Amino acid sequence: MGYYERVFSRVDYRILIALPPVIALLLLPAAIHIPLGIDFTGGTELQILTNRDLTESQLRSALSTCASDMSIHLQELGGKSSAIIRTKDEMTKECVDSALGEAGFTDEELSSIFPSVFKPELGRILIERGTNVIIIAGILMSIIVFLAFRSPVPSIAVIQAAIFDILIALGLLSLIGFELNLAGVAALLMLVGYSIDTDIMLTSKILGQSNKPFGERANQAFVTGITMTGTTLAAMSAIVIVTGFIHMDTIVQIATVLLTGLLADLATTWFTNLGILKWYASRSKSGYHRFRFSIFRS
Amino acid sequence: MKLKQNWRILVLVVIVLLSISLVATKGLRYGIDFTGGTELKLELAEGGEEVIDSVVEILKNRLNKMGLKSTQVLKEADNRHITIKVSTTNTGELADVKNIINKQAVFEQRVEGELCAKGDEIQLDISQSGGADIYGNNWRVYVKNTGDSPERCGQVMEGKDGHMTDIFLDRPDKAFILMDSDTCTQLSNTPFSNHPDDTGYTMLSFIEERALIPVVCYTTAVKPEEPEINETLLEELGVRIRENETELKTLDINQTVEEVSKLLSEGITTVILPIRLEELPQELQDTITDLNLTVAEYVKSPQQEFHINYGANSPRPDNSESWIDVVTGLKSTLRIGAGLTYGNPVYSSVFEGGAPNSEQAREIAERFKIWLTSGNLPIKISIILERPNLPELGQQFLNYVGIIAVIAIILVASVVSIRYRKPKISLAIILTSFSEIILILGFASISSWELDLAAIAGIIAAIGTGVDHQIIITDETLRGERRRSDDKLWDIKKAINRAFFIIFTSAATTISAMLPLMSIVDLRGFAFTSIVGVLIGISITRPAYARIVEFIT
Repeated sequence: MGYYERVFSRVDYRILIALPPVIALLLLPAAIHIPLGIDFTGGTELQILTNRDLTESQLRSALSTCASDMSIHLQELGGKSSAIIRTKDEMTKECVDSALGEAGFTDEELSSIFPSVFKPELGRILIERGTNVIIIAGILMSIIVFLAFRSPVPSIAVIQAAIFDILIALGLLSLIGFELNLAGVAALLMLVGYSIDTDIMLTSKILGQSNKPFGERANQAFVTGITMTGTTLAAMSAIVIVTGFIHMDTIVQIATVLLTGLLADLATTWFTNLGILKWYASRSKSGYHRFRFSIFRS
Repeated sequence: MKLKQNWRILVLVVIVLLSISLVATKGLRYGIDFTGGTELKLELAEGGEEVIDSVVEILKNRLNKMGLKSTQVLKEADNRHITIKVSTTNTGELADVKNIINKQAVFEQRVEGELCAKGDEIQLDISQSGGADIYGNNWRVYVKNTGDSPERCGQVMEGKDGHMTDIFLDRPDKAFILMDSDTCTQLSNTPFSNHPDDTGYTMLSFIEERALIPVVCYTTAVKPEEPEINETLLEELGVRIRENETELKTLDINQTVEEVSKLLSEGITTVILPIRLEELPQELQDTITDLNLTVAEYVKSPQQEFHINYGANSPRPDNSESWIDVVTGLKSTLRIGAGLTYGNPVYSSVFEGGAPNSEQAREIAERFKIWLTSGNLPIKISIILERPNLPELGQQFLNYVGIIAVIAIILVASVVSIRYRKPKISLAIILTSFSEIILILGFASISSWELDLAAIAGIIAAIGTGVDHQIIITDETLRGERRRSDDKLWDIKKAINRAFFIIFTSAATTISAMLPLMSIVDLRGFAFTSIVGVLIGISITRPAYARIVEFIT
């Protein structure tokens, strides 16, 4: 017995359809209030690379005069210790110099430590532009999906999955206290791309091979889709494993957003999208026969 | 296996080999995330949208003169912000960079090399028509001279009715040009003209005599010893040796080294090169390094003109990209009118000229107004972010990216093996994806695209999509085969058609998602690499993979 029979014969498919949207709505408040990184909110980033041993408590107490709250990443790199310190406050070079000077840093060491101050105004512009980019990209992708399927119900099924993926991912990330930064915007678009990939595959398999029983088509699509998502999850895990040893912000953002987003995508694709297609297929027996593949030398 | 059926695989193999040789010979350029460097974000004051292109142009030019390698000046989509990436984290050099950003643009008016007015001495006279006029296809800009400049301009223009006066912006004044004798010969044999009445100069004599930049011409050929004693004797006798104007003065390598040291002792510390430093003869490279000269590479591409002269009856040529104009900062050449040539102090003058149409005339006048407006660059600029990337960290990043790639390949291979239990298929998927990475890197190499962390993320995205699509192709093909009917080939073709419908739709959605992302400078690398990856995928690797799968199943 395949996936389709195992799940859809036991639970009413209307419940399955509703499940991810309900989860997304429950997570909506969290998603809206996702913590944002300093490139969006404004703040200061400080990179230290030194031969001396660094401890978190030492840095925290030394820099407490310059910033009220901060996050500190410590790591060993090629025999040196490195620290990346982030705070929502604005730290001046003078304050950092005197604070670390008191903690015993030499002038030479201080000359290579420079706080990068992100202005809140710039962050606001970035938020606005990031939002615009996601909206424009969403509209363009919806147009492509509509052009490909030329039928509203399957297209909406694909687009809803992408939207709920983003909402659930943002909600879950918000709950674990993950800070989203600019690279996260890129990751969200990547997520939508992967999400649409499995959905297009599912839709074209279900609607394109009407000579086979629905359950068989659904099972085949499921096996293919799980392999697709599985490989992506595997690659993202590689990033998470390695970035445990070194802090690479851009890539960590992408891996974390994709890991949570693709978990959400399993539900939106295999419960909601498949459920909608089942309803659509049973409702209009004649409707989906119109579906044709016309792009590639047929 | 027939060639006719397998040309897709062949194409893939050939392009992979090409890419490998490209990466091996030409190499890859890494961004400052990996090499170390500093990212600066600049904000233009209100109204900056109007002048951002001139600001970018001026900044590029100035930073280039500073001699920092691979400096990038990028305009943000909102036309109010500029991102600058420089390859240094050294606080001293950064201070220079910041000075350069805030520095006044130096406007200079010279008459055949002699200074008339410079900097604040010459200003837009806004009391007359707001400083500029357009009538028909002609433009007019009103300027006034202050300080010592009225006297000086009067003197240098005396008796020069019909002569030329040159306008420079940020003319390099402590620099010389080093070029090989062939280029020098070419320049000395080509007349220079930047105005219909501009005659009597060659490209070389313009640079040396009107832009006042010394040119040192070297040759690697060994020249016969010249009888030096005579010259010394003559000099002792008080006879000045005049350079023979028609004969070019070329120096062999040793003489060049001497000449360069002499220029340095005169305070000329920057060397301008029309080629990359690495392309110079080794001895000259060493000299430049030993003397600690600042290197400004203005690499002249074969398409770039040295300077475009007026043709008969043709409109004013656009020289804004020409090599001589970029290097010397030459912006315009004007004819000196009769009224200015009696030796009287010149307190005000009018710059005027024509253009093909009134719109272009207006543009020229606007540019003059920008150049002449004193103060900082055409608009107030503030540095709103300064973000260092330490080179030590960058090197580590690069190592770890390698480790990520290896672990990711192993994990993805395991998932695929568990699913298909056919080593041939797993191997085909991994090898195809690997070749896709190589193709993307090959493209990055040939286009000199800079790889930063965002670009690496883009490669990851592209490869992820690639693997997904190969899984779709594999499954469709396997299922097509399983239902092996009378017409096996037709079934597989149909299955592959469906796979490619999915793949093309997916590629189209990815590209439409990435295009808007290009507007954010920090994510441009990601978006661009993803798009390139997807295009390479649908045009080369996916079709080849489909063919491979047909064979191995």
